[in-house]
Amino acid sequence: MKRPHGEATGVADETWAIETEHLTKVYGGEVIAVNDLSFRVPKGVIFGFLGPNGAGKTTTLQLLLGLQRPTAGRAWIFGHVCGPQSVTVRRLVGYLPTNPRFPGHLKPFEYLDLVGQLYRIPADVRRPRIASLLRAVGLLGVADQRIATLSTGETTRLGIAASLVGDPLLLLWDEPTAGLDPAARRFALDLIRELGRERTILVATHILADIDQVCTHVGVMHEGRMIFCGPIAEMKRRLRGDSFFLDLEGTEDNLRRLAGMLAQLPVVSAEWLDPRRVRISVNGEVSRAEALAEVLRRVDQAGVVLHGVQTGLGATEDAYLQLLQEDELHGFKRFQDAPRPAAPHPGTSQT
Amino acid sequence: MLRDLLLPTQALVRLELRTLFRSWLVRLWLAAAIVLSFLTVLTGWSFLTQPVMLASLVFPFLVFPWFVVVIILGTSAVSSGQLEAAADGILSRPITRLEYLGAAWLARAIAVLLVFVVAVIPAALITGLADRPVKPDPVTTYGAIVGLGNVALVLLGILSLGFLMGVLLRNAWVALLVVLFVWYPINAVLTTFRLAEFSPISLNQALPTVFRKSWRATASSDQVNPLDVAILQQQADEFLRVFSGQPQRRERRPDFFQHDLEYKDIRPGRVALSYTLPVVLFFGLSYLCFWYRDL
Repeated sequence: MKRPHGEATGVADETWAIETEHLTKVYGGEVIAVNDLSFRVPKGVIFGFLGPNGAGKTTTLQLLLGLQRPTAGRAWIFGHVCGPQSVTVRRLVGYLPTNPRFPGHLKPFEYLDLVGQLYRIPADVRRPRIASLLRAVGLLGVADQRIATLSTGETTRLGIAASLVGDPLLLLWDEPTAGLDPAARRFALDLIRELGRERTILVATHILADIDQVCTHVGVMHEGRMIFCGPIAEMKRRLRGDSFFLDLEGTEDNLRRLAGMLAQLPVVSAEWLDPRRVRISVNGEVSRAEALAEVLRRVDQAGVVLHGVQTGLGATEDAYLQLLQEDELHGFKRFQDAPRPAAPHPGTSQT
Repeated sequence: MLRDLLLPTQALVRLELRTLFRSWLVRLWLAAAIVLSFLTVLTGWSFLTQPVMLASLVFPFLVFPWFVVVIILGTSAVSSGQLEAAADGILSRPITRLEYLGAAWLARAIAVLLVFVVAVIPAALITGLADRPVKPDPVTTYGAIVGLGNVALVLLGILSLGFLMGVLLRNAWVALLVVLFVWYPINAVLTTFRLAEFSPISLNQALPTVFRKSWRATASSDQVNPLDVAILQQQADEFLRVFSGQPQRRERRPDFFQHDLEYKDIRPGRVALSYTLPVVLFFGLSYLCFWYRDL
């Protein structure tokens, strides 16, 4: 079933690759896995779906695929309603689960052929496509081995190939770099970048470095809720707070002297993360360059050796952690602000 | 068009069949069923007429022990462990839950019927075509088709019951225990309510009569022959005694089939319907449960 024009949020068909509206999943009336989730993923972006373990990322993906039923709310993929019967949605989607498990007695080609048949692709189209996919993901060398004998990295590559068999418009990849060695991880990230030129990709992960490298947009989930959704640059801009890090080396006296000098600088505030690493936050109206120049001059004057300056690196991590921290605080504020029963009047008793 | 439509189901059935025939359960079952058929032929070679011989060959499938294997195949089809992998690799692809469930059921039905055919038909042909020292008592083509068809329906009924319990309870072994708990007393319950034609034991007892039946037979030919019952009773007792490892009894009470002697109505249409309806019902309920389930 396709979404009618202008329904509910006034969004036209297929404007968004993914759209959810108050999506909620409660298990057994107790565990809230997804909590009133409303977000949109534009077409043609690489969307990083961030969140700590148990945030509800995988459950959200399963709701989109119709593997689970929402307790409340709805979701659409390219304007088609998601649900257990929505074959159309699943035809548009290539799914890579976390640590995928496939029939161990099949060989990679046989499994991909099975997936191709599930997509109803005729044999004359299916087989050449599978052969080229096996080559593309570097599994030709193990094509005659049973899946059960493949390594974690090879199994993930097979899962990647399986998600591409149907030539889908949208890829939902859940932790594609989990358990991979550095080379395999690099391969997966390069592939995401490559595929992102023609497709919409949602990468669910808690590995921030992956997101930083490949994603253009990001959604941050925490305890079942979306606490940020938008371009990754906006998240960094909003939350970075114009700070940078210095990696230093020097005698204890020199470092102490530098700490004193930085404390007297009105344009920055310094936070010592450890004796050799300081976080500098820019205050007031001065530019980052000016503030950095002032700080570096003090470093030189104090006789401290500068090993490195980090500005962009770690910004996503900072932003992400700050988002989570703010959400925790809001959560506590919500708890504090919640209406409470009036305190019993002195002298009266409660039963 | 139709071929494209059925492509996923065909692929899933092939996958399931391949998985089943790679499992030790099915391999051992096939081997044991063939051996048991061979032993049945060997022990009854010189005195069992062809209709009774056929009924004896079918006994392990209808009564004990092979129906337990059929139930296990049913309960393990969509259990929770298997379903997790299926959700990752199969149900996240563009197929409906009905296609998946239908393929899982169909593959198991094919496997069960294949084992049944491989274990029974060659033995039946050998005993039918060989020159044995027993009085002529031919099996009609019509009777063989109807009788074996009814047995196949019973097997599908048991399979579907196991299938339903597997979907419902999610745990294959709990489902097996529940089905056994339901299935064992079923003969006594059905006889009490005068529905003995639903009972596999009663069907086994009536099979020699069905095998002799011709296309144009009158209603009077539906009467079960007490002599067949007595011989089958003896065979069943012997089988169960050997199977349980008990010593031979000197005096035997013909109690195994005794409460079924009132069973007379073996009209094939009625019997077939009484097994077809549960198969459809159980599969329908399985689908309903599966449709509502989170994977």
